[in-house]
Amino acid sequence: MTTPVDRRQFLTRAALGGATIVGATALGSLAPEAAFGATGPAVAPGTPDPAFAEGRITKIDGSMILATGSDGTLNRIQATSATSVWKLTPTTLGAAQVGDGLYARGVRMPDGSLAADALWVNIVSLDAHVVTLASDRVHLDHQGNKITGHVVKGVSAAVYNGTPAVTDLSMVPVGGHVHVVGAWRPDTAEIDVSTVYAKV
Amino acid sequence: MTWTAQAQPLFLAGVLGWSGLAKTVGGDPRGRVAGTALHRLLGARLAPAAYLALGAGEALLALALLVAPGRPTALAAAALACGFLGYLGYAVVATPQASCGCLGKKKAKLSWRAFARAGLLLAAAVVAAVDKAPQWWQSPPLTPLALLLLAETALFVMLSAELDRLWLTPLRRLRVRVTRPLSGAPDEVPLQATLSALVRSPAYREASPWLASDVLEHWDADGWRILVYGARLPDRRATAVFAVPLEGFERAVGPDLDAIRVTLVDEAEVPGEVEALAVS
Repeated sequence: MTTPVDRRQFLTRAALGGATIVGATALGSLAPEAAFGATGPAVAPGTPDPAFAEGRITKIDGSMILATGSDGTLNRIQATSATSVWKLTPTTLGAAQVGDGLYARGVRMPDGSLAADALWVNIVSLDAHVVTLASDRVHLDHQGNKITGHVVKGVSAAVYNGTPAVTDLSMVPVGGHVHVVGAWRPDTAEIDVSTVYAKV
Repeated sequence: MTWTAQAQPLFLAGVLGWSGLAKTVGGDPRGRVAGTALHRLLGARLAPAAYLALGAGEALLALALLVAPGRPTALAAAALACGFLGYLGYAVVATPQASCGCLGKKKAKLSWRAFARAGLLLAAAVVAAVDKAPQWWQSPPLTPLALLLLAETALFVMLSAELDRLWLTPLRRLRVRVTRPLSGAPDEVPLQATLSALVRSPAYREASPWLASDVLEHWDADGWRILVYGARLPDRRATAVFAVPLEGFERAVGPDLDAIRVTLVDEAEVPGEVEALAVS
């Protein structure tokens, strides 16, 4: 029986150029033109994108997620072992809970469900002003509403002036304008901070 | 406490004169009332005119308080403060998201501070109206009067959300500079740093048309961060494995983007897929 370590060792060797890899050339043409040249599903302006779904999770039944969209649509979203799940960090479907907000991208099945390639749970992206910084949080003002951004050690990062992200958030400018990506804590005005984009 | 009452017309004149000038000078009343409760109360046509008229009224009352301090002007100021309180009460019920448009151009969302500020004005006007004090120029004790005016002005500024940027924000900046919260984070390269380098790399540009998922899992090995994505090829599913060097991030420049590698692996060849996904 294989173990996760086997998988990671295998993929590490694959990425770093080991010898036992079924590499790109074994899979046929991988030129970008081949993919960009393929015609995608046509979406008429103003109509919903069939490859996308959003909503609040109302039920999780195994790998099937039921989510009520903001327009009241009931979405059935099927997760698989190849579905990426983001909830502040890359995680697994087990981290999703009823009540969480959800964005899903995937392929629409004939039965109307969405076979998800990627799920983003509770993700928020907002422009805000920084009110102040505390020992474990960033206080934000988003259009006059107070939002608490919890700083998660080892996860929360700051991008200053477009340079690579660092975990030192102490230079986030108090009174300044920032863009924040994070994970909302459902039914609160609090988020866990993933990345703060700031100009210093 | 006669001198206390003597000080109030000066305080009220200062506040109302400031507020009146802020409303009338500077132009663009239409833009200023947009987003305020006044706009909701009176509509787009009347609100700018009412805003200007209120500013002019405040400035005139300030002048009257200065040159003719006494019960009539104090009562007028009390009536105006009551009007402010009533307006704030309406605003908080009808348009809780709106700003009050009370003090100049800067917009601030309504809070208890706006009520406390209007209450402070009302209290000052009542003190001036009740106490039959001589006019402020008739030999008041200068030091206590100046101290009281200073304290009242400080309280007014503290209750004005519009003025936070003048004192509260610099104070917070200073505190953050001294205490430096959120520094001393663990010395590791955050995932976001490797991701932002990855998406700018030639390797990612080459593979991105095939990528179907976001990051499935990631780990560090031998100075590299390995990032795994799901990929969809024309005839099968595959796994895209990126390797991003962890060198260069400490210099805030990031890694050599050309050093980032990608390999597409046939999913059928990957051992332990189910087990790995279950624990990652």
